[in-house]
Order: sequence, then C-alpha cells, then structure tokens
Amino acid sequence: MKFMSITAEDIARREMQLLESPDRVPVTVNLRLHNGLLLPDENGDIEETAIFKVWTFGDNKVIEEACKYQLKREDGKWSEQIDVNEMRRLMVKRSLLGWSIPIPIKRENGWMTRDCYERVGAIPAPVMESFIWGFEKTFMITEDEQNLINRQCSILFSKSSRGVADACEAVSLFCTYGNFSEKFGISRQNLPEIPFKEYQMLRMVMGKEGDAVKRERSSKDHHANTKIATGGSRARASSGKKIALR
Amino acid sequence: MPVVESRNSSRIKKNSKNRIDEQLMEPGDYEVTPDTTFKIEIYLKLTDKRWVIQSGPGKDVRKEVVTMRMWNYDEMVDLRKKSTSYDMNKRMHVVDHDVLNRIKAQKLFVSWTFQDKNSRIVLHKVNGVMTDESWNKFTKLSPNIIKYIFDKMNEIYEYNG
Repeated sequence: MKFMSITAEDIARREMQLLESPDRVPVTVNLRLHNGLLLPDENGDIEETAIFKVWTFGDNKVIEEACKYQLKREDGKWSEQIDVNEMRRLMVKRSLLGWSIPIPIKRENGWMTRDCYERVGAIPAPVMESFIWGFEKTFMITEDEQNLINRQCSILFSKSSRGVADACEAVSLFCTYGNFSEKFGISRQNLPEIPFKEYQMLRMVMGKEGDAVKRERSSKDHHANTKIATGGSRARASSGKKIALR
Repeated sequence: MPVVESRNSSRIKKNSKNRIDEQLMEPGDYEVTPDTTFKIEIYLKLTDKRWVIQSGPGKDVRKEVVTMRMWNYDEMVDLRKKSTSYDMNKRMHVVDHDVLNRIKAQKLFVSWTFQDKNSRIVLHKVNGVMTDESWNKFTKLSPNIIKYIFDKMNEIYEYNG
C-alpha cells in the first residue's frame, strides 16, 4: 500500500508542477551503460531530465511553414510537403530549455543559439530521440484517444444527448472551459486559480440549470433543426447554446 | 641562414593555450567524439562453401570485427533526411532503410578486419566517409554477413542496444 501512495504522490507532484508552470514540460529518461555507450533503457539506473517549453499551436504553425517543401507529383503538378526530420531538429532548437546533462543550454530570442546547438546536436542520437519522443508524447493524440473522442462526441452531440459519463480529457476540457468562459468570462489561464469550493458550487448550479433546460425542452415542441447542448454536473457542451444542425 | 620570426608569434601561442572558451568547449559527458565507438564481432565458419554465422568462438571459427562510431543527433537528422521520401499513394513519409543503412555504413564505419584475410575488401575513406569503391567491395560480402552487421548496428542506433 505504501508503494501505491508513493505513486499517487508522484502523479500529484507531476500534475501540480504542470499546473504551476504550465509552459514547462519535464521529460525524464533512464539510461544505462551498454558496451561503453550510454543508451536509453527503461530500467537504466542513470536518470536524466530535460525541460521543454510547451509545444504551442503557434510553434507548430511557424515550424511547419518553415519546413515545407515543393514536391513534383506524377501528374506534373506540385504539392507541398513537410520535412518531418528538419521539423524535429527545429523542435529541439525551439523547445529545449534546460536539462541535467552537463551541456549548458543557451538561448536568444526564444531559440537555442547556433553554438549551443552544435554541442547539443553532438549527443548520441538515441538519447536525444528518447527525450524528443517523451516530449512528443505530451502533445500527440494517440489512436485510442482519437477513437474515444470520436465516440464520446457522437454521444454528446446526438439529438437525445444526456451528456457523457466518464468524460475523456478532451470532452471534459471542452465543457469545463466552454461553460466557465461563457457564463463568467473565466479563461483557461484563470480557471485553475479559483477556489475549489467555489468551482464545485458553480458546477452544481450549472448542472441544475442544465436539468431545467432539458425539462423545458421536453415540455415544448422543438424545431427539428435545432439542438440544445446543456451544461451540468456530467460533461456536456456549453449550456443553453443553440447549435444549428446542418 | 637567419630565421625570420614574427614578433608576436610566441605571445599568440601562449594566449591560445589559455583561451577559456576553448577549454569550456571541450566535449563533456554524453557528447559524441571520434572515440565514441562500438564493435560488432562476427564469428564465421565455412560450411558447405558458405560462410555461416556462429553464436561465438569455436573450432574453425573465424572472428571478424567491425568498428563503428556512434551517431549524434544532428547526424541522425541529416542521414534520415537523405533517406526519407514522400509516398504520394500512401500519403506519408517513408524511410528507405536500404539507403539509410548504406549511408550509415559509409559515414559511420571506422574500421573492419576483413582485409586481413581478403585484401580486396579494404576500407578506404575520403574526408571521413567510406568511398563508393569500398562500399562496392563491402557489398561483395555474403549477404548474411552484411545483414548481421546491419542488424547489430541498428540494435545500437535504432533500438538502444
């Protein structure tokens, strides 16, 4: 049981760190010595940590644009593609803020300096790959997650929706941020700061409001071409908003 | 005959020794240097006119060694770029592993012992890269030997040993 409580504490510490510094992503890699080479290994006894800047929509857009190249298709037309390898190199230059490896990270204007990258790029590829893989996992949506989002959204936005039980992170974020922003103008940056009791009470009232909207909807004859997605204690779309179905 | 020497030559020499930036920029832990190498040992036995790979030393078993340099991250990105193409039909980027293995070998092979028994298979390099002629000689080895070397090489490069 002691082991379980330590694990819970570890998770809580990690989540709190993300909450307190949401623009920082720590990635830890375990290494071991293999024939004189330090290589990543889940069970390795050497632990190294890198801190990345959170990968934003803006970073992705700018770097994708920078890594685009023209490719001639068989029909003679040109199509635009992204150099995925160069993108990974730029990802390091843009996002790596610091690490426990004894190579100092120097940055200027939001980017790693050229001199610094010369040394950073000289570390063994498997080690850097492990850091980047860990970093990418923090913003990539897996196939399982995609399937869950698709499934829950089809329930959430169906005509006879009563909300989604055990909402996934995407649905939960959509509903929570949507509701609080729409009702109180609380942005996603400010939401973690409000007292928890206040948050719970507001969620309860929004749930009651949602139930009232549902009752109202069932008592009236609704236009077939509209849908009301309600807010409430269970995960739902933003309250009282009418969305025209196409 | 008198030797003309620059007045400042000795001073410049002395200064370059004490340059702090050069001392700071010396490779530290984790950085790949020309000495960061690993060895692949191949045990071979001639059986029915074929060179068969053995699991270890034994009677009539020859040992060959290929020494390779570890690749660093920047090299990895460059080599992958050279071997990646976009597949229009699949609509995805595809790595040509044959090309990647070849350029890994040409860039990262440090030495091999094949020339001890066969002087035709010599590793020549120009600017640190194996020449195409040496690569062609290397490809004359039995395919099972080449495949074994590439498998062991990729265990380190791609699958963390």
